[in-house]
Formats: sequence, C-alpha cells, structure tokens
Amino acid sequence: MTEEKPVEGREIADLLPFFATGRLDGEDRRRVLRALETDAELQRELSLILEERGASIEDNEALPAPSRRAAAKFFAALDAAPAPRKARFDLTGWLAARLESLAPRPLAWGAMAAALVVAAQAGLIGTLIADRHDAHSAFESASINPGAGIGSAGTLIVSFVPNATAQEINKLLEDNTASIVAGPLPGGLYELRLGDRALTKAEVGELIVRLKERRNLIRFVAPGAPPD
Amino acid sequence: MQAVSDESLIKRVAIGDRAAMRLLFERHHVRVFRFVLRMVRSEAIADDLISEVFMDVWQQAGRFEGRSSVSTWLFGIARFKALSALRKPAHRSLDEETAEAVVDDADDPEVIRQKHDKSTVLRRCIGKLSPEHREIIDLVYYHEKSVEEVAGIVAIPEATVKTRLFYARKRLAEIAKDNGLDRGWP
Repeated sequence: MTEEKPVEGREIADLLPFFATGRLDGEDRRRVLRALETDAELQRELSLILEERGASIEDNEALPAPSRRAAAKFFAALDAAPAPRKARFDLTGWLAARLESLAPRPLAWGAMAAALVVAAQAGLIGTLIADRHDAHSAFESASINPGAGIGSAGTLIVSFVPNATAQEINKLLEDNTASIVAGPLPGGLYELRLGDRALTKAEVGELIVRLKERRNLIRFVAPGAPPD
Repeated sequence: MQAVSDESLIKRVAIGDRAAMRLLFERHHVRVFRFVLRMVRSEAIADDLISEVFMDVWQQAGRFEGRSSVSTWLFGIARFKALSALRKPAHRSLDEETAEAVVDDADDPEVIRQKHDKSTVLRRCIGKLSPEHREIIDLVYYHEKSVEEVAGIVAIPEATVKTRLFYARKRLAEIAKDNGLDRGWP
C-alpha cells in the first residue's frame, strides 16, 4: 500500500477537492472560502483540482453503460425472489413511506399524525408504541436526499469555463433568474444570487444539478455562504 | 410532484415493494456499474455484479439503518462484491474490449502531447494510477462522495481519505510530468 502519512500544513488544502465537488459543509466550507480570498497557492491548487475533476468525469462518462441484459437479469431475479423477510410489519414505516411519496413533507407530517391517532383508536396502540422510535428515525433519514450537504443559502459560488462568452453567461443567468452579486473573487469565482426570494435547500440542490449539466459554461458550482 | 427520496424507497423495498426496488435500480445502476467496472475491468462481470448488488439490497433493505446515504450503502456493497469477484481465479481474465477502454495504452509521452489536449493527457495519467488511488479519485471527483462517505465505502478512517487523496493527486502529478505535462504541483 502506498505511504499515507499525513502531510503537515495541508489542513485547508486537503479540503479543496471536496469544496470543488460541493461536498463540504458549514464551517469547513467557510474556512476554505476565507482562505481562498488571500492564498494564491490555494487558488492555484483549486484550479488544478478542477482540471483533475474534469478529466475524471470525462473518463468515467466515456465508460460503457450496463447492458440491457444486466437490467433484464436483475428484473427477472427480482420477480422470482420472495419478498424480503421482516420480523414484523412496520405500520408506521409503511405509512410514512407512502405519505411522503404523495405529499410535500409538511403535509406528510400532518397526515402522519392523523393516521397515528386513527390507528391508535383502532386498537393498534401497542404496535405503534413499539414502532415510535423507528418512525421518528424514518422521517429524519427521509430528509436526507441527493441534495444532502447543501446549505440553506440563497447564493451559489460558481466559476465559468475560460471560453464562456458574456452573452452565454447572461443567457444562463436569465434562464435561471440569477444575478452576479460578487466577483470575480480569488480563483475566478463568482457569487450568484438566485431569484428574488430565499430558495429552499431542495431548490438550491436542483439548481446545482441543472448548472452542473451545463459543463460547456460552468466549471464549478457549490452552495454559497448561509445568510446572516 | 417531488422526487421520492432514496431513503423512502428503501423503506418501501423493505416491505416488499418491487416497484420501489425497480426505481432504485434505475436511479443508481449506471454509476454502480461504472464503479464496479473500474475494479473488475470486465463488462460481463460488472453486469453480473450489479444484479447481485441490487438483489442484496432487496434482501437486506430492512437492515438499512440510515447511518449513511443509500448511495453510500450501495457503493459499499458493490465494492465488497467486486473485491470478492477479483479473488475468484475465473474472474481474473479481462474482457479484452473493456480492458482496451479502461486501461491506458503505452503511447510515447511526446505522441500523447501531440495527439491530445491537457484533459486527455490527464485522463490517460489517471488510468495509470494504482487501483487504490484510482478508486479514491473516482469516488471524490466523479461520484462526488464526501470525506465521511468515502471513509464508509472504502472502510478507512476519514483522515486517511484525505491523505490517500493527496498522495493520489501527487502521484497523478508525477505521472503527468513523466508524460510531458508539468503542472507545477506539489
């Protein structure tokens, strides 16, 4: 195995790859942003990391997709397999899963509470008491989604590809009701304000996914600093 | 209508919802396939493995505790399956076509410089990394995993994730320099 001794003085620099992919949260992200404002070496390393990331993405996207045979094989096996064994029927989990798929979360919470009352009146209180902890955990974990790690900020930090034209950038901003509120920041970064209202985490997450797909224009995108 | 979260799907899978299982498969199987393909370097084996991975999910969804994301859990299962497959002698032979796509060729550095741009050179250099370094580069850059998630998938401490990534990047810089691309780092 390769030597893996920690290297002194790279506390912030070692966070840069995760900053570049938008997978750095809270204080770590703020530390990186602060350091990038003044540290030219760090700015340069971020630029190299973005090159490496681009190469890694291109390389992986060039790999073949699984064959149709793989999906067919799995679906056939799934259809033939018995249902998973379960110690007991998890009524609260079952209700939570279905309600979440049908309604926005606040509504699901309300509907869930109502369902619990009805179920208790129907004599299922014993089962529910046993499951209460699981149900609570279920809702907490259900809040983890592909946008996890995204802050509640209404701004984004982005950098554009070097050959992006002002016209292309303007069009992108218009399409996403966004405006540049700061920049260029060190490292060629810009801070974007999104729309005229505070966006939810989910909305910010969706926007990041959309912007990441615009690789002809966007080189890097990550959530901005949380609002004061 | 909002997309159903992976965690919600897993809860439905745990109570035998096959439609939820199909949706989970559709959502993740391409990335899981590519992750496994990097390790086993055979499309046929990777095809078989993803079926095994998702059948494990079908059977074990009830045990998923939500300590990590579903995606991280999937990658952990996939990695274990791929490593097990690599230990089987019958699975060591490479699918030639895939090997050509996955493994770097032996072009002269100057030829590479002339034929390709910087990104292509870097891609070729990534292909020359050791499996451990290649794995961490892909997990962080392509699969966009956090420090904690990589630690969970590869089963190493979080501090080791950072140091291994540093050494992988350092090695990449050395290989790039040997191939005529001096990036001036570290």
